[in-house]
Amino acid sequence: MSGPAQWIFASLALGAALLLSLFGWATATGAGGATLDAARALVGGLCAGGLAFGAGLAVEGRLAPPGSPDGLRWGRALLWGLCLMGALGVVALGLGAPVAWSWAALLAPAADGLLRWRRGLGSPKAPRGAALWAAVLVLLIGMPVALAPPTDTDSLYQHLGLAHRMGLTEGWVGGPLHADGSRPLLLIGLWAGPLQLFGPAAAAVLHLGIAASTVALLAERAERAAGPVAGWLAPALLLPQFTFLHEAPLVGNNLPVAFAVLVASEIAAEGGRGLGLALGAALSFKYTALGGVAAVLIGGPLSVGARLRAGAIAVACLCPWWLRSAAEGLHPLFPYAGWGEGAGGALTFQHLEKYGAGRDIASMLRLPYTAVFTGEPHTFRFLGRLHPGMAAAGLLAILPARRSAVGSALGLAFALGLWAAGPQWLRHLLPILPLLCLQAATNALHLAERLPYGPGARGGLAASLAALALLDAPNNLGPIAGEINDTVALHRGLESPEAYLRRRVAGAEAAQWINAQLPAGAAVALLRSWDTALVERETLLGTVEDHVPLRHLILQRGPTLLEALREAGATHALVGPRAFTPRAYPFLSGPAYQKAYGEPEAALEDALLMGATLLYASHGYAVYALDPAGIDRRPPPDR
Amino acid sequence: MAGALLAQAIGSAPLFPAGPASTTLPVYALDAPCTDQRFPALAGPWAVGCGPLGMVDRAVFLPTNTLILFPEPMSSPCVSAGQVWEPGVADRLLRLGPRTATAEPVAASPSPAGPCATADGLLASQRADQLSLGEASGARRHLPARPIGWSPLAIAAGWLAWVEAVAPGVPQVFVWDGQGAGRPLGAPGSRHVIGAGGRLAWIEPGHIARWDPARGEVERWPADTGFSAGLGFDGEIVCWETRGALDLDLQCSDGLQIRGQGHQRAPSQWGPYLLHRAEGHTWLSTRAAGGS
Repeated sequence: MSGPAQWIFASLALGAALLLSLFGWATATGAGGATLDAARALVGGLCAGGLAFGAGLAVEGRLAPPGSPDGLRWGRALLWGLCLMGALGVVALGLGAPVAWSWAALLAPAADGLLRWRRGLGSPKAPRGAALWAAVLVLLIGMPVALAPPTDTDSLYQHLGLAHRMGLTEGWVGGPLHADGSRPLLLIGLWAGPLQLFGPAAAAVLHLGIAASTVALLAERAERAAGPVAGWLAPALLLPQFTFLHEAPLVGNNLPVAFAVLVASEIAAEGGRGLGLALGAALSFKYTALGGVAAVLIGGPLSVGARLRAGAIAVACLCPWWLRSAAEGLHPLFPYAGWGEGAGGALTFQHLEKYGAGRDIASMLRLPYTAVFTGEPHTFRFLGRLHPGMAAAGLLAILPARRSAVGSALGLAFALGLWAAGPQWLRHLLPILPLLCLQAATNALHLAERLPYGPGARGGLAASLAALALLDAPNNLGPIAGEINDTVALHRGLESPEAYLRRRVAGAEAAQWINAQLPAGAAVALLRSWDTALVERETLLGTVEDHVPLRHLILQRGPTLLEALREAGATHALVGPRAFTPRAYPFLSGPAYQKAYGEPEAALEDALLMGATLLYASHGYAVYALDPAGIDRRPPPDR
Repeated sequence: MAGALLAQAIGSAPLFPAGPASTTLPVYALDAPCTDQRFPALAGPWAVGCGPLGMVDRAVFLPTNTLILFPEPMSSPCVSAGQVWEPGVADRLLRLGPRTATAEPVAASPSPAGPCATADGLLASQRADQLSLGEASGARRHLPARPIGWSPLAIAAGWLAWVEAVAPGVPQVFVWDGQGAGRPLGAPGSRHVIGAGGRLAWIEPGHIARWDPARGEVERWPADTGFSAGLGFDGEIVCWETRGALDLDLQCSDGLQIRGQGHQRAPSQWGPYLLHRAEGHTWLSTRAAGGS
């Protein structure tokens, strides 16, 4: 069977198996609603991915120089298609138009691209062998979670939340009350389509497809670089870790960045047009792509001129977002900067000291050990988990095993250094993790060739590394199995989607109460709560963790906080539980903590008690009416 | 007595007479904030509250200041004099004594969609589309209804009261006598219904209302309240939050006022006792014997 046929057959078989299973469950359990939701999400994700891929094929057909070797370009095509779909989605969101209209614009190029692919005219080969099966494995593991209603914090407040909010607001949002709306919005435009047309789980299916594509591309590239064994080894290093498998079925930006960085490194290593665009796409997905972008520019076999050109194009891709912020009177890098640090540092965007395992010199020297062996998925101690094989893979990746790998080693070392200088979340490693696995696998096999143990050395070394990767499987894969198991009752129809959300998301019950009880025209300020994607009303704020935008508003407006919210159009407030405790900020002095966190939190409580009316309270969440007649009666404290 | 005081209060200035003498002391055993912010609350002479995890798991018998730990913690129960009940998976009715709490089996109830009510030997629970009312071990009667969820139920003289939205964002108090259909009782916007001593009380926009089923009349008097909690009510005396110049204070219909540093919130009233929260602590005000 040829490559494309094998790929299509496997996709169809997988899709049919999933649909049959779902309808089987529905018949056996009467789980009609849940099954239909899941089927809709599956169809939506496949439609979005297919449309993007088809449109991307048309773009790639024009970008690639004539005579380009086959088998190199499906990843690029998918990236171009995702960017095109995202960009059109952003435009539609800005115009307040349904994102479906932007999909209509993609139909003709997608049909053209797919027809060319079907006829085999200048078309890329599809993944096969290790690439195919690694991708299928990711899809199988991730699909149960992807088909469930998204419950992940970042999905709810940012990736889906922003797309949902802009759809309700009928335009872009940004600035201090919608801080995340001032980030680059390319991915938000991408998620908005499946979200509006097929529901939030469809966006998760599309994201899972991108994760599977990342693994497939990684396997292909490793195979081309160092043979079939490398093609199996590279995904075997990436896959069996919590941080990758946990992220794959969510709606996020780290894996799309990883995919874009991998495509960019392919273009840099193997030639072709669009390197700057691929790097620009990665940065437009998330600024944390910077390490991966640097690794590609440093490590790729490029001339100085090509590096500068690609870097300039990548920066140019970001300029519209910076200009937008500047035009709105914000810092170009808002919301990462520009909160008025003049308030005595009370509004530091991120306290790096909160995360990882220490930032003194000794801790930094121990970082390779602590990050690999002591990460915890649900605490600030790296917010994730890697397998022990990553210690060996990391060393192998930055080992200049051959002269041509010196640049790549330097690039990866630089990227790892950038990661260490940041908050050290393991999910921020994802943009460079595929590159790291690729480099580790190819270096390992090149090294094995030099060993005096004959041809079996390659297989032996690869098997040893893969075994090392599986050594900590209970800790890495156990929580993933738990996440899948948590969706079984939902998919079997024994638990409603609403009950699933209430069980998994602390504020879901309050959001459901708002949807059922508040007037359609209500606008809800989310204070210390972030379930933007669950509230079917216009929202503002909705921040997480240190709640910088909320504290900024409180510190700015003081006792007239509620007046500011009313001026911004809010009629109600959804207030989450108290968020701050001095124990979470041991690096702040008592007075500094009070100024930055204690006083704003007390001021919020005071303002609500004196100017709002409680409508609902349960499990730490409360809904208040911001009475139009209510006034903040107290004088400012300094009077 | 409370009725007379209320009648005096309407139209008089100042609105409420000088209050009875009282002493206010902290109740350290109930200091932990509860996940269900209707607690701590009085269940007759017992103050029911939470442990460090925010679950309702203890009571203090106030006459002797005796701490009573429950056999199992509850997340969102309902209380009446000497009784604590939580319907749902672990359906159980606790009878409070001076030293201990004993659990009694009751007829199982489905998982509730909002807080329950217990009074006069009756138990009431709510689901999203139905209310249930009956005796602890007896059959329950059901009424199709759309209660707004979080808002608690109330029982008085065999009547069940609940809050239902009559339009988006417009709650209203309804009542049902266990027979026939339910009917609206409060004005549009009414909420925070509470039952005790055979009477119901609730908050309406600009008013507090009280209904005596035996007389069939609704008494109303002006009050702007319901900012962070409902009423404290024992059938006679009603207590509520008021907004002062600087913070929230408490006012009772017998004239008792609780003012002090910070916000005085979430009143719960029974006989001589007024339980409330202030400055992160739980406080008990006790009226002097015979003082009024």
